[in-house]
Amino acid sequence: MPSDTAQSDANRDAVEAQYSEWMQAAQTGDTDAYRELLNAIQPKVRAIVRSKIQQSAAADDVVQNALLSIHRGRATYRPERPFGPWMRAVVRNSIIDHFRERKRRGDRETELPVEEWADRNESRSAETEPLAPELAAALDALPKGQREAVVLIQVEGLSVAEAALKADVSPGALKVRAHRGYRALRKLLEADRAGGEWRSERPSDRRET
Amino acid sequence: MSDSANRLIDSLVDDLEPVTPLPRLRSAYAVILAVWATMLGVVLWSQESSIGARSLMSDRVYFCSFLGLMVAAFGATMSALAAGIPGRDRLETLGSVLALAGLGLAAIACLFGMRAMGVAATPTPAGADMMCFEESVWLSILPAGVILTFLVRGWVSHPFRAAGVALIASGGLGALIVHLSCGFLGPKHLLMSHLSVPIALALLGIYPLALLIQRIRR
Repeated sequence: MPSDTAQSDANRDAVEAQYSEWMQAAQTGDTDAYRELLNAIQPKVRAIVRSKIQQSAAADDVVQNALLSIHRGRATYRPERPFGPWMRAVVRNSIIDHFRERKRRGDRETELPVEEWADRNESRSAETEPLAPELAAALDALPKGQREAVVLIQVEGLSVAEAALKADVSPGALKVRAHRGYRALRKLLEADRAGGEWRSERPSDRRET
Repeated sequence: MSDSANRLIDSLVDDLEPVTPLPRLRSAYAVILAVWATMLGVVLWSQESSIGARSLMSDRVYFCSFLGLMVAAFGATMSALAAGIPGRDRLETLGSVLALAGLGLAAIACLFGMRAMGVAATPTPAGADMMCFEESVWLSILPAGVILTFLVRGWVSHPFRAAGVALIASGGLGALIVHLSCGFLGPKHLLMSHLSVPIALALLGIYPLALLIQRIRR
């Protein structure tokens, strides 16, 4: 029906105008408008991501990365242009980044014992239960960037996107740091268990990753 | 909505700071054109005669290589600027295609000229090739700075592609000025010291520039 189509177009235009208005307000620092915008677009972002990525955990990760990209790239939105295509382009790029990263890593990365440790300790509250002394010492021996990534993801329990926002790096860079941190932790803990001594290298002694 | 998504939204809202929207693409393009035109004006004004500019209508090879270089430089500039804005993929692709087509046209014109006239027919004084090459590189620094400023403020999705077209753009703009002010019209000279500038810059600079863009994006 032509009238239904016209009505639908009018609704879409109104929604688009509302998003654009919220984004312009967000660019000036209006947190209420920004919260409204993020809450409104989050289901749309999720729908786009889920149409390309079936795995729930991976899709959640990409949704969060896309929201983070929208946040960091918000200065590139121009008020005179529609919001929808801009948002979809950012989401599409996050999906492409996800597939690129997956392809790059392939199957060569395997689950590490330290990640298993983290899984077992999911219910542990960082505030109430301290880390085991050997683990705390091993964490302390990591370079600053790797330690920060491991602590944010595994100890504080943040998602990759949240951790990336806190560490002020891209989600990809944070994942790389965390993964290197896991590997270094594994070596340190294995050496400790074997009774050997490992050298505690201060962050300043090592190359930042 | 999942808890982690809610938490992230809270974090993003807490992290919100006012930002100045990126300038319009056409405004950025106009700034680069103005910078380039000013540089061209200064270079031509500082010379007693501009054989290159006067030869545009009389020498077909020279004209075709100029046309190709111009299409390449302005196409790559459009592509590089579009690379910094999400959703401008078509413009980015169109600019890249124009850049490649322009470089191809200029190269074919020079090769055709070399074959038709023979390299020995238009000798170039010793050191002239390197002089033009160096001058083009120097003249590409300012346009590169303007393009990079825009890219750094933007949100680049494909750092390698963006770095490549940015270097072709700035190298092409620098080479165009030299092309119009150069006194040597031999096709080999045009190929080796004018047309080679954007290509050499792109080949040598793409990796470090892409890494820089990636690092800044983090």
